Amino acid sequence: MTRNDFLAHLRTGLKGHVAPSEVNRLCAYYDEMILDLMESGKSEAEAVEAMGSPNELVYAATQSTPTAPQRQHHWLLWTLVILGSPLWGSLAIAAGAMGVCFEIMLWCVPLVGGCTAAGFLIGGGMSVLMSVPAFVAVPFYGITELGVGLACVGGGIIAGWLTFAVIKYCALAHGWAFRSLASQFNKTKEVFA
Amino acid sequence: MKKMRLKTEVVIYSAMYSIFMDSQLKKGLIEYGVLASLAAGDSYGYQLLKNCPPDLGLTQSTLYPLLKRLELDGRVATYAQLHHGRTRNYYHLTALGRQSIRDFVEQWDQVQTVAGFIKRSLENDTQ
Repeated sequence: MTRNDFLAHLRTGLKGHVAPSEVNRLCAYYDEMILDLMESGKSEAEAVEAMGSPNELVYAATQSTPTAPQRQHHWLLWTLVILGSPLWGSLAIAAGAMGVCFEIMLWCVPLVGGCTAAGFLIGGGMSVLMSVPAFVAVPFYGITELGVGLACVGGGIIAGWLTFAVIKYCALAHGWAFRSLASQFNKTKEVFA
Repeated sequence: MKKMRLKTEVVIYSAMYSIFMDSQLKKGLIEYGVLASLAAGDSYGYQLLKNCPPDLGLTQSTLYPLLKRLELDGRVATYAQLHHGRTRNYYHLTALGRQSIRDFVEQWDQVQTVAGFIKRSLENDTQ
């Protein structure tokens, strides 16, 4: 990593976590350190490496400088929020609707699978039961119905097993989606992740 | 009875040592280590890192908030100076900083008294 890359990473990571004036001071401090190390005989890459990971430095800075940028909620900000509500409100509703659509689409697959499995199992079971009186009346019909019923029960079992397998992946996708959403509000050490 | 009380005190002091040497005491020592480095003359970040005893475990990321705190306390003052065409921040020990070193040295005598007490307890311990 070059000195400029390091400083760019550091600046990007610090933004929003510490006050803007502090961002400049910290970047100047580490830049000075790198240049001093280079002056003492180290190469640019070695000097940058000696600073450590920018992520770690950002984390250390946020832990040691409790002066996070304070948002000023003055009357102008609130006025803009209220006036801009038709725009951000509709966008927020659209984002929420998209989330709901995603969930519906996600759970549609196991729902369809479950319905198919239930249909096959119930229909197959009834067909097997009804094959007895059918066999008494016309033996050929009875045997046919028994065969079709057993095939339906088998299809239902396969559909049920596939649905069960799909549910696992749906739950994983659901968890991933919610974690991704939650991570936007709860930034951790991995600020560049 | 006296021996038991002594042992209890040793346990308490040992626990205090294990807790505070790694955090509070070391933190204080780093602070005064940096101030002591500045007592010899004005210095800059990299030189301060080099001058401080390695046992203190001072790093680039721990030095910055420390210098900032010392600056806010008024124990250190900063000024920028051109060095080979670039700006370098220098740190200067103020009168308040120098006084805080004296206070620390005076308090250190009390710490040594406690340390001596702990040391003697081990010497007297027969078990």
